Amino acid sequence: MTDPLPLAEIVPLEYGGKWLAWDDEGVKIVAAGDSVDEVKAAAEAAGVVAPILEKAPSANSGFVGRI
Amino acid sequence: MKFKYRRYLAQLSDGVAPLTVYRPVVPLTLHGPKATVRRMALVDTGADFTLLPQSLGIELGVILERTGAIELTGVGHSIIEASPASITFELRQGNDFLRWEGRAYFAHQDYLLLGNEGFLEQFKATFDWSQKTLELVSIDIDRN
Repeated sequence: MTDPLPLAEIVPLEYGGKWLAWDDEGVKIVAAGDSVDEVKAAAEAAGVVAPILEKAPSANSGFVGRI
Repeated sequence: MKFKYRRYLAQLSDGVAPLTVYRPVVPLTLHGPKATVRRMALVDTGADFTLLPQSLGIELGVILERTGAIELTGVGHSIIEASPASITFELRQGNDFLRWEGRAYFAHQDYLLLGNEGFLEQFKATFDWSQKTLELVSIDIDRN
């Protein structure tokens, strides 16, 4: 049976700790960088006006909702 | 609404192949007096409260209730101070959307943790590891 839920792109190792901009559906990464402003600008340049932003946890340590 | 867990590659020790970590992260829209923002946010059943970055509160233009500031602690010994504010949450999937007013705490950190107060209290939540899905059913809808 086909799964109707969209499967988002996997976040690669090199994006750990980076800010990410996802497309409108939250499926594809359209930009990555070190600041919100940087990824917002890159996303807009890629044609995504309202990206979904995310600070990816570090890829070198487990994440347990630490603060 | 049902969401797929999101996937992250992690390299937790040298000489070991990267592993795929699955997390219940959902796309969230937040509405404030000054702005509307879209962020990915981790649903955290172990969190008493919903915690958002202070920088996001500034961008949204929320009014922090400084007198309601509390201390929060997680794993380890760090303690941070967080101030509450009312905010409008929105979850959207395709043509379906849910919007509600709730309380979040804002602190100097980068992550969005959707805990019991402000978020999970709105839903019957089913975390299905076998399918790597999180289903959120509004309690209000469930009662109808």
